[in-house]
Amino acid sequence: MTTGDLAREPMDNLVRALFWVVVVAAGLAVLGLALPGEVGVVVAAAAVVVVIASPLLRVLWLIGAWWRSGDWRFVGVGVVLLAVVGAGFGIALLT
Amino acid sequence: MRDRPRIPAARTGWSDGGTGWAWDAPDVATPLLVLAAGFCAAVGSVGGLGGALLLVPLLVATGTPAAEAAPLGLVLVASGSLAGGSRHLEDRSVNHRLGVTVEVAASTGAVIGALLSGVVSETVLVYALAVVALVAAAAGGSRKGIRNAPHPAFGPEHVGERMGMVGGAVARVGGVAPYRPRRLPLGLAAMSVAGLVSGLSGVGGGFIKTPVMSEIMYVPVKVAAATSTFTVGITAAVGLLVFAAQGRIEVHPAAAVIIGSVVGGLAGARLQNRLRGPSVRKVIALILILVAVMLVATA
Repeated sequence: MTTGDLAREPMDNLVRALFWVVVVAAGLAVLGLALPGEVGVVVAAAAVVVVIASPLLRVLWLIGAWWRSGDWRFVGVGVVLLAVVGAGFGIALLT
Repeated sequence: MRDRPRIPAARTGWSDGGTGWAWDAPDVATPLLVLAAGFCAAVGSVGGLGGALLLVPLLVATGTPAAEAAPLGLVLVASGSLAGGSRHLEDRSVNHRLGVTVEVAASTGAVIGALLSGVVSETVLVYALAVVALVAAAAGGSRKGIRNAPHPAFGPEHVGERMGMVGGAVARVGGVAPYRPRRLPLGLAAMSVAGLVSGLSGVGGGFIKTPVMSEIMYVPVKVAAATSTFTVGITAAVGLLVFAAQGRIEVHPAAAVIIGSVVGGLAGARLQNRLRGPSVRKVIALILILVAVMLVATA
């Protein structure tokens, strides 16, 4: 049986944010395909940037929420995850 | 480029054949790419598999070089994960604490795998992936009964994750079931293998992560699928950062994949919410068998 306090992070904010990120990414992707020339390429690239950035920003948001609720163990785990991601990206760039 | 049908022929429809920056009439294959991405994202979202393991073999089988298909597969995983996120948050089936914890091991494995990716033969890797998919299908598909049965002391107000721990409670048919992941060290070791495979092959690794959480760590399959959908988005984002640095992401086919996977990811997340745990397990097992067949066929 699981015991312990129910986590109280304000997930409603994250739900709303994710909804709008999805709308923005899909909207940019549609526009990127519809618009001609370099503008279309830039807009489509923006859609890809949104898709890449959102999971990492979600982890950042979680670290902030855990920090505010005093869940230090998972603040640490989240920071370690971002450090691993950053290190991996750095190593990949160098190699 | 047009001598045989290939789904991402949208690329030729958008480029001038040299710079890739000029407008041309959209190729008829663009809608096909959107549809294929939508289907793969929906299936991947239901099973928490990510979908790249379906899309990449499909693209390769229809004539796309693997080097071009891999970034599109990761775009599918990242955008499908994004699209399914809201739904999984609303029903509180995703466990972020568990996801971030296992992703540390998976990302470490992925970095090592990426660094080793030039050493392992592609054919060996494809056969290894097929074997892993079949083993995962057998493990999930053969299990009977329900672990983490509903507990009378738990109500809807208890659904969600817990402060300071990786356990929680999930709503299921007949009530609310508490759970606590078991065999965490073994699960983390398996996750690092999942990450290693992901780094080696360029797929999200959800097809390993979901069965690991469900069958090794005894996490309810809906939580495993939702949490895996969250974590594969992180893995895919890391891979895409590398591909972006290498200039390997073609933005117009990627945009087509985003459109399809957003629609498919939303549909899959809704469908997953309506399926019972054993049904989800059977769907996952069938998908994994299909994936294994596709992998061997493309090898």
